[in-house]
Amino acid sequence: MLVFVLGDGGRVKNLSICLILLSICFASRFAPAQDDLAGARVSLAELEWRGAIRRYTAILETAKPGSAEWTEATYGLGISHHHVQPPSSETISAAMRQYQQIIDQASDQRYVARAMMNVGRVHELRDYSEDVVDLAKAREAYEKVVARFPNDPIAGEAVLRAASTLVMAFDEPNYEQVKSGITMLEKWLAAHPDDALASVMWQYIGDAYFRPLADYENALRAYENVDRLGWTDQGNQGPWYWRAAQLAERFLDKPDIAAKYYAKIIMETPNSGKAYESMESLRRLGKPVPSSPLFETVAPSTQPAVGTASTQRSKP
Amino acid sequence: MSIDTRAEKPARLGGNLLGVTMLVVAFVVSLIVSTVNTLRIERPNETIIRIAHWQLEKGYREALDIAIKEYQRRNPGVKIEQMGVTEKLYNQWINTQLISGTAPDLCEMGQSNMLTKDEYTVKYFIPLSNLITRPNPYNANNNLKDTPWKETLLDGMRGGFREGLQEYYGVPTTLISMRLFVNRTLLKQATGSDALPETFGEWMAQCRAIREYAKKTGQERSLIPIVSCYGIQSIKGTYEVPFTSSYERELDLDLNGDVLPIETYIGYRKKQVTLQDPSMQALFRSMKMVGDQMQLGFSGMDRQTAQYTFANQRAAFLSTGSWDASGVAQQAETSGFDLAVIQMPLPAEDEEFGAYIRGRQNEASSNGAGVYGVYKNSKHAEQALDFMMFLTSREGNEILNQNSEWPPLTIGAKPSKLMEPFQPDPRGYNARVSLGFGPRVTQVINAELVNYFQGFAPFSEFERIYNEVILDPRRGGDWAWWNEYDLRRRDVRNKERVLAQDLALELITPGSRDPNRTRRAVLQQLTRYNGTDYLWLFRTEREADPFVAWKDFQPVFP
Repeated sequence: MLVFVLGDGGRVKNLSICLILLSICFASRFAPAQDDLAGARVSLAELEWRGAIRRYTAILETAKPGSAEWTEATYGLGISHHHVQPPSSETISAAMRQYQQIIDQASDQRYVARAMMNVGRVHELRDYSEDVVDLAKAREAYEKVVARFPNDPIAGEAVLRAASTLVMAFDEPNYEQVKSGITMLEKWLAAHPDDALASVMWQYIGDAYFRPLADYENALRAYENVDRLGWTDQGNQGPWYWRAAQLAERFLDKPDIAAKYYAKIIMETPNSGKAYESMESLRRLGKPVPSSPLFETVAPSTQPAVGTASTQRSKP
Repeated sequence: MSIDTRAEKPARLGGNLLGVTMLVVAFVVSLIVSTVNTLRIERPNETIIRIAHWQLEKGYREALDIAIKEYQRRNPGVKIEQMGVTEKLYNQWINTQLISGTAPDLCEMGQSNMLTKDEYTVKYFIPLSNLITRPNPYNANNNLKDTPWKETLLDGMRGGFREGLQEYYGVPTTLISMRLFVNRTLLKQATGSDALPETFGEWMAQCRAIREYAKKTGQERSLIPIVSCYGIQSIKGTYEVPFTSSYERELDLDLNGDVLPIETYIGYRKKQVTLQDPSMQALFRSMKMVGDQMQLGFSGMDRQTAQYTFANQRAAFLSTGSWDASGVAQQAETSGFDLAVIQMPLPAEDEEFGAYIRGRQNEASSNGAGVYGVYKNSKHAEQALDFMMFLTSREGNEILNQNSEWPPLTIGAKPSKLMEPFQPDPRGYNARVSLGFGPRVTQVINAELVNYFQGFAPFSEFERIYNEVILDPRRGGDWAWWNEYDLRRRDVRNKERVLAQDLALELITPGSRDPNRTRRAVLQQLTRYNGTDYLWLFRTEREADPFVAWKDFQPVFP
């Protein structure tokens, strides 16, 4: 072909164009991986796992093992295989391989810690229909994170995940695992009261005491701690306020605490559907009823809940 | 044999020239047309914001135009163009626009999978969480000036929240509610008074009087007391809470303040609630009374027929939503009858069924509607968002909703006179007995209960069929329980995707992600226990091994 092209003087120009295009392609292969990484990040941000797999695979063809590009691409490829749909044993195995590469070769310890956590996530969750959940292996993976990174913020998350593998056993009748999960978290919180996930942990502990243990005293204690720290799912904590109020009023004879949560429902979560009943409850308890912005704004044009319904009474 | 081709050459050259010329001409013409069209659409020297929706109900487009004019007056150089697309076409049209990268800057969210499913939402729309926590500058001169934008809406912007993504992707602009429309003129003709019914007993008495009047005036077949745009189920829905919220104390096992269908099923199995309970019987019998005042075979009446019947004064009461109010009001004006709007009347204490009424259903947890998302490829995303701020400011929301005759969503925005009765009533209760557990049981309820309400079958027949299906081990409550478990487990797995993405992007660019969002996702995932709490609940409440009971069940949604 080259002879043929060279044989025709008019086609030398074509050859030049071909060579230029080829050299552009060749050069782009060795261009900084940053542009490709940026494209892969966009795929990640858009949850486009297949696109991310293509891009990260291409980057890894030239990235130097252990380099920053290699670490990001290997990790990105790992989570893309982990979450691409439809999942299969092959995609999950590929994800595990890439996580292991990060654990073995990456110098950035943040990636190593997160890859170790992800190994636990693979064991904990059922990823495809034949997948087998292995909570013991998951816990082992989380505990390894705590052991290797005891002073990093990820340690708290790993403890929470490890504890949850025990709590979710719901092992009636004695609930030994549930109790040991709670103990694990309470011990961590005693040593790390300011953990970034402390509020989440207390809420989780409260839920576990409430159900399956039916230990209402401790459930309320945990919820009080959440309330002190601030609720994580701000705006949606209404059902927990209601539960805390019910535990306090109906089961623990603590009307002051019940009143506190009823007032919070009225003031903080008036859209929860329980504000009106909270007002009734406060009246029943003989406590002051706070005014609610929602009721002040909307309710004046409406009629009381009990009794008649008409909003345009105009009986002659 | 040799072939002399020299003679053919000029002819081929001529043909080639013609072809090339035609190609060039076609190319140039296409280029000109395309450039002109592009310039016409894009107008590079102007800031054009396009807003697409399917709200073609009377008054909405005009109202949006008024709001747009006011916005343009305040923002010279900005032009907003609305694109109203019929409901039937919106789905296909918006999909094409999104795929081709030419979607409007603001799109009403809904109708299409690409506007409702998380995987598309994240690809095509801008996340808003970081933006909606700041005050809305268009509220600068009212008492919402320091309130975060999100909190200035009655629903806390829940209407735009995507739980699967833990992110706000839309801004709601209005509220919706169901009410009873009354033709007072007809009411007076038939009963001698146009007094609105204040109680359920009064309402039924008026309906009976209308029946009598129809009989006397030879309109027995054509004049009916009640019509409904959405069947009797929508009416029954508003009575379920008043009649059954008292069950909450016994049935609400997780003390979250609501009775879930699974909790109703557990209670039904334990006979804590039965179809023969006096309050349940009161609910069914009262709804049968309502059904008796609707037309024979009312389940076949669609929305348009119901509206037409009411507009033509062939019915005294119409049950429908706020979105129809403007059209119904205009029809009333055209037909020359007095219109009133009321909430569904409840039985008074001293009336039949009154003893079973706890109070009305509150509407405090209504989500906003008319939700608009900002298209990711919008050239003027910031300006588009600014327009949404205006539309949901107290003043802008008043302009939009007063003129469209829809209920406003922004705190303090005044509704139009017609909309006053549609404002959500936060007073009342929320829990109810939910007999429909799972799609199969719900299907049976919808069909068989309506047969009873229409007088086609006795209550005992509904009761027999309901018990048959709810207790059926293969398609009843146990199947629905398994289905809930399966959905819960999948939900946790789906959340893992979003969480993984969030954590990866934070690893790549530290400080780029909102840690609260991550914590919230972790909490929500943890408190679903990978579905194992539903296994435990089955073991302890049904006293059976779920893996034995469910061994043959397959997922409904692959």
